[in-house]
Amino acid sequence: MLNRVTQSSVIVTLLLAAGTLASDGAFAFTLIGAGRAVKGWAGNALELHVNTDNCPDEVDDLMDKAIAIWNEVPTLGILLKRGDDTRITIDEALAGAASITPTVHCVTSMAAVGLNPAVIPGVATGQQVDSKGRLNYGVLILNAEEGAAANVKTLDEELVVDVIAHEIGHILGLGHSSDTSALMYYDASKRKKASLAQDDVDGITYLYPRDELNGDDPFGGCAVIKGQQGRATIDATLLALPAFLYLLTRFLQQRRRMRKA
Amino acid sequence: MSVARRLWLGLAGLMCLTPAHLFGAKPKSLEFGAGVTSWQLMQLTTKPSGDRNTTGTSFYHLHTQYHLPVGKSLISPWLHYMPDSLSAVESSSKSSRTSLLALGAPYVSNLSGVFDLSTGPVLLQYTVNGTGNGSETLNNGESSSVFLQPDQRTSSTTFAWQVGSAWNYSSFRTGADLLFQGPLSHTKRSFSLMLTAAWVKS
Repeated sequence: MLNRVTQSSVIVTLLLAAGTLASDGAFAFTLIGAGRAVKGWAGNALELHVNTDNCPDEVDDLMDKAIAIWNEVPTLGILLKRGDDTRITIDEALAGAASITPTVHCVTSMAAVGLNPAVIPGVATGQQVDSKGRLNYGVLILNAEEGAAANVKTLDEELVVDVIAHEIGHILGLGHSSDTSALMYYDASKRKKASLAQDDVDGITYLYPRDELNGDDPFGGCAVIKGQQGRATIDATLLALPAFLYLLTRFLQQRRRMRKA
Repeated sequence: MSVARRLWLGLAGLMCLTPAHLFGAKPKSLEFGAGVTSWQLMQLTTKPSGDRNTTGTSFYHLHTQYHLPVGKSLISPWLHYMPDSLSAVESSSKSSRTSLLALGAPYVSNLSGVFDLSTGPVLLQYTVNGTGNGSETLNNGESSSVFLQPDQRTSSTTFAWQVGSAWNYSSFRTGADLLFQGPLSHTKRSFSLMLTAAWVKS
């Protein structure tokens, strides 16, 4: 009987191993920069400010979803947030004169910013670096041109989230990837879900490594006081782990008592 | 097939042939073996559609663990390590290699003669080693842009929590553990599966 249990456990282990063996992907992240790669933004938090003029009504929600995709990376050492809305115009932002940055804008004439409205739903531009090579400026543009095929107001929501997350990747310093499954791949036309590939995780970890031995909150921080967008949140899955450990301890204690008896 | 894959499958195969001589994790025993970590289950995609995979990225590693008796239970520190040159995950453009170093110190309780349960903290060091030396021209939709390849080495150090069990027979031990990353975070919570096969020296 015990032999069967043992053999079965080995078979299950092998099946699980076979599953993991089949999942390797390709990785090839790059970085933006001129001659020398950028080092990312300074600090451990970055706020993106939206000028909601011309934007879809649900732009704040779309931004939050796109930001959450990057924040999910457990090895990421920077916290992205949606900051207060801004009145800074696209002209001011592109002139490098915005008082707060990075900013997000929805433009009604993509040609005016030198882009093809039929195929480009969004773009990140205007990135600037300081003397240490750290990013300190960026502009995210979304296509809101009436009648344009790539107008974000007419695209599927999941695709728009994917586009915004891709452009946030550029704002953070990532370049394009040659991995077709990566969020940072240039073509989103086949995307149905906004998600990250290993390549994206490697790229963002490379720029913003999390260090829980030296300053970053251990175990990812506290969900109760550091929820998404700073709201205090708690959910059932947060309780699952301690509940499991409590039940496990009770089970082990019970077993010991039975043994003694 | 990489050396690490062959090593892992070889050890797992050997265990199938081993006569079952059953007992739990042995106090004061040292074990050596190999394993694989499926990094970030149900979180990442390898498909152009973006649909997430059930499994994660595979990191192969060498395994060593010591079972230190504490009262009637065990504290069993372990180390998972794999040299970059042997089995790091390499980018298709050869511009970066990623590796995972893990150190755990779980509490282990022998539940029966067959298997044991373990739970405890884990320290993970995730290293991205940029090995590129130049630029890369990639499509940007309308034309192409020049991007730069990573050329530095950076490491992310995070704490995780391990919950799992192991089966013990003869001089072999095989374990399956879940690693919870960011268990206290609202946004960063994810988990990975760690499988290990080892030879036990009493």
